Amino acid sequence: MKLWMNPKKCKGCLRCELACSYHKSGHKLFNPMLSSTKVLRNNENKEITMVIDETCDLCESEDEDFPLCVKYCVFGARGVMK
Amino acid sequence: MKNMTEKHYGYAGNILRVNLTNSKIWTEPTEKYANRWIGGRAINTWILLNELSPKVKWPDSENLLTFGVGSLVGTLALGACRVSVDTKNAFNNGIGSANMGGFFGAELKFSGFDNVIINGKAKRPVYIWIYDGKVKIQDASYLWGKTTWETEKRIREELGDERIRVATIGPAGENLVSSACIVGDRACVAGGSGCGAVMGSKNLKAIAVRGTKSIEIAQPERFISAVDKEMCKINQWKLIKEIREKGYYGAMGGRLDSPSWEQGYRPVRNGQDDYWEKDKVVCISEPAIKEYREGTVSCFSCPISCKPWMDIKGGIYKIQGEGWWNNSANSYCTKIDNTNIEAAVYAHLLTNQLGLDGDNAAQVIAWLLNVMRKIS
Repeated sequence: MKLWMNPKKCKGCLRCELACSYHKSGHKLFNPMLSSTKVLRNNENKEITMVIDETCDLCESEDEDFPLCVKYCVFGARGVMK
Repeated sequence: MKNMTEKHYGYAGNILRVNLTNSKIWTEPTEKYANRWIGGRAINTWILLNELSPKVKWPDSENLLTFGVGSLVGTLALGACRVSVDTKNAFNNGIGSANMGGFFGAELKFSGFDNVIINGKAKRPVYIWIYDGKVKIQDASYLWGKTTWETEKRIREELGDERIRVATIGPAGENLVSSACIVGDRACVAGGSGCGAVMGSKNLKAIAVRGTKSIEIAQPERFISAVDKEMCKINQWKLIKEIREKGYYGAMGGRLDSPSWEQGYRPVRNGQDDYWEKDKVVCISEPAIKEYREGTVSCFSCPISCKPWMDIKGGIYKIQGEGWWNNSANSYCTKIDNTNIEAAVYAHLLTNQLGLDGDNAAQVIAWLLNVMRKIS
């Protein structure tokens, strides 16, 4: 399984970061700093950069049924490839 | 259960107090207030009621400028991002409240504070820099006179972090324009009640925040299932796709067939008329505005994304930035009888840069145009 991201569809709401931190803190905390994925919107031209670092475990621990960043992205900017 | 009553989950835990007159900075626990009141505005209002004499006028140094963020902000709760700004109203010295969205509120909580209470008056222009519970009052003389967009850019450059969130005043607040606003993230504006003028009267140019702390919730599983339930509801809303694509204006108020163009809904020509001609409406409603829209952008943790990104690619009105609303159309189109959409969008983004309240500024222009028509 692999994650894909599409910055063109991203609106920069950072819900993916919150969801990721929730997973990584063992369903306890919200903190974008703990997140494996980082999203940044350039306020001058709306350009969005999305990155995932090597700490991403595709939500395989904690018994998530689906990677949480994909689950909480309502704009279709993230998905999984089998 | 005992533990739950002792600790206030959802809150960052501290209230920041800054006295700009003597540069004194101290904190107090949010708990003291959170036992009785929920959220930013309630705590702000309680502090204002208890610590402010009715005799204090808005530009006095004793006046308090309070920023408050609620207990849901910084979590996955849908659309929880608002910051309440409460102070003495610059119009009538009563209590004034304004609020803004964007990313400032969440970042403030991640930096460890629920509220920021500012009193006193700085001798020179300053800005407050909050990083993970550490607070500094920095010199802002090089920022004085700069627009809100420029200020955000300069502060980020100076402090070297792209994720710093800035709430700032523009030249309007510095010059104590009574309708001046506080502008966060370039386009998220706490307008109304003249809180920008209060900030300007304190010689406070901006507040910059960056935080890496966590927000803890009491019952995470229950919380998340409530979030999921609400998200289902939003996704089933029949207009949601259109709003995400076109923004609030394009999908609702600004549609050509919207009832808002009918008689009596919008102020026309300084409120002298209540009906705008259909051929003029065509120039500024949805199919026309589409040419200048480049998708939408979202505030922190919001699944709606109602804010259009406006991009005028060339000509004298070349500009790009966030936001075009129903009341922007009132202000820069119907009120002043203007059908040039490029000029209207430019004017809207210019008021964001200057820290002016668009409704108020346009009303003054509309009144002037009305007077000109009458005397010519």
